[in-house]
Amino acid sequence: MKKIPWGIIMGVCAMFVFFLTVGVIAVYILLNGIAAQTNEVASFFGEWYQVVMFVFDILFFLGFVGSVVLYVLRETGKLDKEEVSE
Amino acid sequence: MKETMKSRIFKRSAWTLLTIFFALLMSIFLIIDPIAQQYYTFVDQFFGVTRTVPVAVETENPNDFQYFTSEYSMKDENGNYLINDRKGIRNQKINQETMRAHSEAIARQVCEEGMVLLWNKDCSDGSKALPLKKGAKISNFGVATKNYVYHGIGSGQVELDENAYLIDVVRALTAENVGFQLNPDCLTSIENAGKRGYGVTLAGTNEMPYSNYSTAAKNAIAEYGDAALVIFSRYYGEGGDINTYYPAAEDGSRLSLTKNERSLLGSLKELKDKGTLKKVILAINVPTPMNLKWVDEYDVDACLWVNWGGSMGVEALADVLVGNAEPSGHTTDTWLYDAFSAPANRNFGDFTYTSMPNEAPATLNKYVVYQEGIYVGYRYFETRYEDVVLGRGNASDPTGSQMSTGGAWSYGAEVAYPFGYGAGYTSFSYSNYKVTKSDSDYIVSVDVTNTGSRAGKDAVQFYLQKPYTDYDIANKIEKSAVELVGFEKTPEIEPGSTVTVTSTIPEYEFKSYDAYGQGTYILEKGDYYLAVGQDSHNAVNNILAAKGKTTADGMDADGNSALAYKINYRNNDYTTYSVSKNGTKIVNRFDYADVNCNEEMDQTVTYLSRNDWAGTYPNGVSLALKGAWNASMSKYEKEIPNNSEDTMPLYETVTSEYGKLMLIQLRGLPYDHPLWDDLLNQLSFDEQETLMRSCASAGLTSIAAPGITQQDGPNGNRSSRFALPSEPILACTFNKELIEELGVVFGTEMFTCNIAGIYGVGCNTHRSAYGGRVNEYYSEDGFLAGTISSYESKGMRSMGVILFTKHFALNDQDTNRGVAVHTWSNEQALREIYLKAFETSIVDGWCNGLMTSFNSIGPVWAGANDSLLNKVCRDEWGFTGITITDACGTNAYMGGESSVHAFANLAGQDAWMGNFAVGALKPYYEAKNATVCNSVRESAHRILYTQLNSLMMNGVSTDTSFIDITPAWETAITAMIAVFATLTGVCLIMTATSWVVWVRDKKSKIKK
Repeated sequence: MKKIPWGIIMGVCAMFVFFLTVGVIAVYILLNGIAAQTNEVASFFGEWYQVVMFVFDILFFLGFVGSVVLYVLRETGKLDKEEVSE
Repeated sequence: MKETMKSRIFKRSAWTLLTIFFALLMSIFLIIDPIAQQYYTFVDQFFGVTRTVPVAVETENPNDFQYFTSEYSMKDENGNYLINDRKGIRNQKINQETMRAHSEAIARQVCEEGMVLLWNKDCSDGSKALPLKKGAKISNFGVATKNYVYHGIGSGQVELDENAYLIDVVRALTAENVGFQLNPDCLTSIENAGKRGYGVTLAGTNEMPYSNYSTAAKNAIAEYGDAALVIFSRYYGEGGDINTYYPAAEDGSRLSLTKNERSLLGSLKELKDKGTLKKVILAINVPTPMNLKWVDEYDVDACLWVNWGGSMGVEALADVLVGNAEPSGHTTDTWLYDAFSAPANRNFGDFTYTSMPNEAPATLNKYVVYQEGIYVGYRYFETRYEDVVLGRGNASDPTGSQMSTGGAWSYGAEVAYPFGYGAGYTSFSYSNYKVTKSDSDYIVSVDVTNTGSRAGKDAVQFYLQKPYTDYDIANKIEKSAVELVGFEKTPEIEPGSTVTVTSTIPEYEFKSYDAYGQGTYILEKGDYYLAVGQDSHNAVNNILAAKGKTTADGMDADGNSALAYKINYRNNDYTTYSVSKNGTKIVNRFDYADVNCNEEMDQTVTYLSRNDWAGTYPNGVSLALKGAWNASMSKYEKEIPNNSEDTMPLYETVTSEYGKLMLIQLRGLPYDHPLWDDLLNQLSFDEQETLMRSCASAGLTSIAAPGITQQDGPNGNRSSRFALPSEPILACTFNKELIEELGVVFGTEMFTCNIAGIYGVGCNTHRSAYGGRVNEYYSEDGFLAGTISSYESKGMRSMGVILFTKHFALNDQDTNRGVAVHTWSNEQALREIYLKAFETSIVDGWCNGLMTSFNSIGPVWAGANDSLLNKVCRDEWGFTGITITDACGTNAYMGGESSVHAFANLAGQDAWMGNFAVGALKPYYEAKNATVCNSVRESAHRILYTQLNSLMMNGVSTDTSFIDITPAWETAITAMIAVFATLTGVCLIMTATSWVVWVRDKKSKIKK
């Protein structure tokens, strides 16, 4: 666990989360504009690609949170202790 | 401690990731920048920016420089127009409230007069199903009650003001002047339908079956049982055609009722049979004819084709339902039981060449063949019907039958409602039909009597039958049994009253195009019939009656011979119409687009002929693209001529005796006035080329030309968020004067927002009901489309608008348009059917702009088509307006390469919508290619002439000067690129440094 580059994973995940979130919101705004013309509202999951984007967004977010936790644990030395105790 | 700090600062991974992050952001803006530059007209419009703005100059009489005014323009106490003082906006202040009230009233009237009552049965109490009584208790069905469709997606879309115009059906039906009482539980069920997956979306219509309405709703139907109001919708638009394979419908067609829609109607019929409901009223909220196979199954009492009505559509529907207004619309397309009865659908959609020459781009491998020739819409059905009655041309053969049974083709089995049909709330009869000749025109008049019990308007239609002769058979000229050649909408006629309707039919309409014989328009000898009818079928029956035929001969109704007038021409005339109205000799221009005349294609196509319906019925053409020339026309690189007799024009030289000219000084001068040469001499090549970019929107400060603000869409001004009715409704009114007034409304809405150019109106043909942009085009008939578009354009022109009438030409399907679908047609069909609407509007003098289409005519892209743009449009029809391309994107066949731009410009293309980089044509100037330079100069001439005569010049005097400004959004993009580039650079340096530090540390550790 100690050798895994959590900082890099955290950064990559953060980038994906940023761009996917912007994408999800942009697609929603676009589709909502279309739906509004028939007195409807669009959903975040109305189209398959919205679902795919959202799922990946969540996965990368979880990856980001997880890597932040592990990064912090490693930086504070707790991860080392666990590995020693193991 | 120092080491820790250093390692934290020079964190390699962090700097690497930050570099990637900022580089990605920079890349996004680097991609956005050129796209925004290509389409800066739209971005400017979005942000409300004008690039070339006037420097304010005090003038003594500002009214002198208001060339276009509105009756809603506001004035001060001295009678001077109040001018908007927003920077760059020079238009008059408009009284918005009164202007909009007028817009609403006219749009509403168009919707009402364009609404077609398809049927209206008698009720048990002797009354008609419609109109309903004010205050009637109604149960609503159909998810479209909530998801009502106002207009299509894409170019035809106008995002409606949610508060003012996105009103729901309920609000309109319960308005004070309508007063219907609605079953609240039905409305609740419909409101909740979306949560259960039911609704009208671009993907399709998923109707909620009756079983899914709440028990409370079902229980309340008896109380709200005066009528069930069912609304069925389809939602689609630009970018694709309507599904011909659609699993939700039993027969797989999106134009047919879905299984759930059928189920709903079936349930309502049961309720009616039980006496729970008194009647079922159906509103079809679709701009194209639906398949009416189901029409006898569900005992629907009345059916209204309400179309897509824009902002006022729902209120117009309520008006008509309660009888506050008469639905006096007539069909613009033939309504069929199954759209596949139309022969055009045998060659509609996706066709791929079986093989291509190696030198042709492999991606441009799609084609469509107009094998039905002139027999589009009613021209096919009425002609075949007449031939059945006359017993000729194997017309009764079952070939081509979709619905006919018994081994014979039958008009009644295929056609539900003919072209020009409309029931209305009252009825009319015709008498005293007269035809007189006056010079080269025929003056027709008929007495129209209201035989019903309500006041109403009628659309009186005049049809022509030309003789079908042995010469025609020998030379493959086709003649329709009837062609619409005139129409008039009556004023409102009181019951029992009579008005006389008069119309002028030019002999010009009697000509036919003889592509394979004389190669020009001819007027043949023989018997012509000018008939008046309430629809196309009625007119044919009147002509057949004049020929002595009756129901005993197989007619489905007796005609009135007194309503058909026979005119005999004793001699063939091959000269009178072989020259256009401006004296240009008319010859074949599209032989290359006819597979049978394009020798390199080395294949033949059998076009549908009334001489043998069975033997020539279209079967879906399989083609290979053959020939070096055909391949070269598809290639991206073109050979550009430089004719030795052409001389380089003057640039940046003042040649006028009046000194340096400003554009405004030429106002009022004709297109060919010598001063235009002087003005063009003043311009640099770069300035002339600038005019060609981004849809001719750029201004030129050197001659105080303001540019052309413009917007997409034939269905209203997007900026005002007020949508006009879609094009088919306009045509359904058959009311020229009303549509001219609607044109004024459209123009005023644009005038108010200082928008001069509009990407409309749409003049393509409803070749197939499956066309995805039927809502943007008027009709299956070119005469009707041309006349209505001409009147709408006339109204818009009165407000200084530039209409980029589209899509020139043969863009009658959206499938494969983006790959320049090769559209093959014979010249007679091309001229008589598909160019007719454009020709009418141009020759009438109201069309001042054209948008060329994505597709090719034969193998030649319409936007680089010399025969279409130069030979026919400019030479024959005398067009002096601007041509622009459709949105080019990155399509290589539409631009990008300099040679494509030069080739298209020489062919008559003036301006590009994207894909035209700065300096695209400069190499030809530098190479002193006089042919190209003169062509570019002529485009600049046309663009400036059109701009000069538009509302853009309002407020411009000889003292007005302009300055160019850089819009804030452009600065913002540049700033973002700079910021992210700097951050990327800093991060990159830090990344490199951190790697150096790391390597050095590594080395020092190894040393230790």
